[in-house]
Amino acid sequence: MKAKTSLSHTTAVILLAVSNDYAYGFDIMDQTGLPSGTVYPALRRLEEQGFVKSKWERESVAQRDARPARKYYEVTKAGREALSEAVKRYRHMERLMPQTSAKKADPSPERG
Amino acid sequence: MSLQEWKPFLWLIRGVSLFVPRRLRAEWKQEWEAELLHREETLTKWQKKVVFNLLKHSAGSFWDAVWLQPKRWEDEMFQDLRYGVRMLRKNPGFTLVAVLTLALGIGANTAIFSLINAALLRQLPLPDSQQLTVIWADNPSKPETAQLPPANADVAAWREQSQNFAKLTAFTPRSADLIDGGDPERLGAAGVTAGFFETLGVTPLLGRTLAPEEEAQGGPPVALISHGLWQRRFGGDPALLGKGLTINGVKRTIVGILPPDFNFPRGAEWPAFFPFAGRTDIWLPLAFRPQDDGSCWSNWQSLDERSLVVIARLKPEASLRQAQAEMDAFATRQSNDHPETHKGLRLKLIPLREQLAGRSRQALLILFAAAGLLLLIACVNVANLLLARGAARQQEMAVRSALGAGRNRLLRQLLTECMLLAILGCGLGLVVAEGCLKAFLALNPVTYSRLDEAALDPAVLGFTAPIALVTCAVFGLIPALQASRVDLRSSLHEGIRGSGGTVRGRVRGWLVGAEVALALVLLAIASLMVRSFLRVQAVEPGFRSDSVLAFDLPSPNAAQAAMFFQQLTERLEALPGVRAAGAISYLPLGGGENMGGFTVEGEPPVRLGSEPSAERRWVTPGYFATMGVPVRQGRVFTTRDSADQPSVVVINETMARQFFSAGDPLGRRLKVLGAWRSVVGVVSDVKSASLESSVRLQIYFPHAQDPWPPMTVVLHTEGDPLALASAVRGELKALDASLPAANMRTMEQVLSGATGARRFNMALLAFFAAAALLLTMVGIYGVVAFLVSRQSREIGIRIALGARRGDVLRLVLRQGMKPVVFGSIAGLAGSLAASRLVASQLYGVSPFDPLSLTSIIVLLISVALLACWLPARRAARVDPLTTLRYE
Repeated sequence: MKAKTSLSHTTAVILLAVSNDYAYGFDIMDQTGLPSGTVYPALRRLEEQGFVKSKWERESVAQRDARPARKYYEVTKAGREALSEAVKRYRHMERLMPQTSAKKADPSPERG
Repeated sequence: MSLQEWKPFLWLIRGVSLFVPRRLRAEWKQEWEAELLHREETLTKWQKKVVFNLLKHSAGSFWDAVWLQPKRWEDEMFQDLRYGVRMLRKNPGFTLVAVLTLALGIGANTAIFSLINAALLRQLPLPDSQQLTVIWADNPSKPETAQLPPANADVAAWREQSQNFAKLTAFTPRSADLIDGGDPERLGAAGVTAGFFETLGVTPLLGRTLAPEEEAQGGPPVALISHGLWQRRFGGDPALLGKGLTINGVKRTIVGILPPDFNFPRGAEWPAFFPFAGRTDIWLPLAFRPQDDGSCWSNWQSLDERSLVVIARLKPEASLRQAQAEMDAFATRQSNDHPETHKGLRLKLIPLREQLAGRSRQALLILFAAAGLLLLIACVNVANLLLARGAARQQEMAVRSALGAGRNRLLRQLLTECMLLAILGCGLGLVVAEGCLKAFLALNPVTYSRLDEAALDPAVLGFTAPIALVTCAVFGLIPALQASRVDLRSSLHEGIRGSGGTVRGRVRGWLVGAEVALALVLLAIASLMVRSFLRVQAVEPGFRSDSVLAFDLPSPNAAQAAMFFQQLTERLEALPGVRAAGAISYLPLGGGENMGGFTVEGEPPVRLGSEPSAERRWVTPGYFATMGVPVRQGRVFTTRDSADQPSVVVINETMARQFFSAGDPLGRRLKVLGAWRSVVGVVSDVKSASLESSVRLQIYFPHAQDPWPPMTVVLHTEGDPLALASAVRGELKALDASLPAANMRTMEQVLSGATGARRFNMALLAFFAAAALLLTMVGIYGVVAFLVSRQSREIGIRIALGARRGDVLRLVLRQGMKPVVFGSIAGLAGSLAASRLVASQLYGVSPFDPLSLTSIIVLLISVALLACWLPARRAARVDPLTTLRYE
């Protein structure tokens, strides 16, 4: 079934970044060039709409680094459908970000 | 501490986190701090630029916190709702009483508003109905001419040359005897002009409306029928269109079938001299042909024939005021040009909706006010309950306050509970409203038109929901403000259980007083209406009402009518169980009338426009005996008073007294309907228009000398009149199988119908007053019971110190009755004011009737005493040992 979406361009770019395994908020900010005041509300909206889901990284990793556990985001199936619609609409979008093959080859061992 | 150690970006996050809803705060802080600390680690060099960079990122957290604000309200709102539901479930008695009280008030108001919406507010089911207006004539010097039809010639002139009317139509009552498709049946009908449906804006479901040539004399005989008749009698067969039906002995082609909801005109909506049926099923062209229906309508040129109801549709650019000005100018011209028929007459335009609502408006508004009073009493009751409960929850409020809840938070919690009560009360109120509406409509008199269309619809719900919310917001606010004002020291201190504070006690007393005052006003109005109704019931109608059967018959053609009715009455009198039979053109109190002017021979000529007018009725010889109307002087008609004999009349006592007080009326002559007629008898007065209106001048004509109108046959029977219905139909069929006996009813039913509107008003007001009394009693009981429970320690001490049970009883009664007494005084003043407002609805009773006022005060005080006595008795039985040990 086609997902009915009306993602704004900014939200679509953020979703694209998450789908490209830029899972943490600040990483998304780096990749998209968008400020935290835009990225985080967008992530909340995407989570409410069911396009992304959030999880906490493993406690052991956080303790090792002596910092609180970080929250990361993953795209859901509905999110992938919404993203494919958005990519068709905003045809130049994929060119805004570098390819993710390097990132995917080194998945983070931190995530639970 | 260095910048590196201080980490200002973390402090910023901590500061912003204060704005994040408490439930989400911990995770939100962790997410931001984790990212910032991780970012700090990944940066290789610690510089001020790094700090600035991290500060810049953390500043964005402010927008994240803003985005989360709606979650704060949702979160705490659900908390309040959950807590509120728990509190209401924990106190089922309080919740039940409060919800039932609100439901009664809201339900009654919603039901009455449904009636008002149907009768007064809702647009007529006609397009642009606000442009439709009815045109009446009246003579200001003669109150009885309040709604006179305009002259036929005037109507013809407006159809040709009006500047403000886009369309204009005229119509008049007819009856239609139909024999096709089943047993002969008499149906309600209207004779209408060709533009009737276009003026109203109605399109037939099938077929077409009337064409202009069909209205003219000699035009093709056609008709339109209602959807109900089409379905009921012809099975909804579309092939009926274009077929002929025999209506009143004339074959008419059916050219159109009207939509399902169209029922216009309706009898109850028009003055009595336009006796339209309750349901119109057939529309005939208004052709002025003498042989059509045996009527005697003349033509469009007649200046003195006034037989038409006229409805005009204003042009879009015209206003009612402009049209009225045009009519005023026309009336002045006609009065000058034709003084013999138009002297002193003026024309007035009434919007159609106002015309149709006319009779019910004032009564419904009084009922609405009464229902409003009931709702106010319900609100006061609930407020008192909330106040009492607030006092009982002081300790709970104190604990919550000590744990950090601010006053606003407590207030919001209490108002949420009020809203929950309002929602429950509103929900149950709709059920109550549905039941009330069904009961009200079962009582609905046929004289209140459009009430049978009343239903709970979205417009009504749009009235109920705000009422419920405002009720609880306003009447929950005071108790909530009281309850949320927490004195920690005294509330947390165990063992102190007073009556809840002096101020609270005073407020509760005021509320009880207000309740009593409002209930007294409602009781006063109800009492006056009940007494008026009983007075009307006691009015002597002037005729026999028990054991009389009545039914309507059309008139056979004039040549045969006299013989027909003579034969019919003879056959009916021969039936076993029938004592006497007769017939009359317009049954008294049955709706329908015929008024006209007359001249008394030998009296000086009367100024034009000031001629006396009298009710005119045509009767058969046996009528007066059948109806038990006593003869005061002379004789009544016999079979010898036939068409070839001198014209005679019988008059009533009032007319004899007014015009023949100096001498004997017998033998004197009157000129009426263009001929001189001798008075042969005087009969007793008969109530004709209503039981309440004074008797008018009445002239009776022998039917045999002028056998034109349709008649109502009356039979005086020995037993139950309706038991003879089939025997009567059998005799009628034997005489003429084509004539249907319509509307068979007893005179008791007619009499009951005549008081229907008054009975309806009285019953509803009595219901509201009884409900108000019950609520007041519950309210007083609740407050006094609460006082007793809060003062149990004090009472125990008094008894322990030697007070007798009687002293305790007197103490509690005094406390409980004090606000009742003050409320009664205020209520008495209110009752006197309110009674003046309903004075026009009263009959035979003064608005300041001392018997009514005294009896309701005695009733209220008695009920209040009972409500106080029950908890007072409990207080007098308090065991001081038990009470003091518990404390």
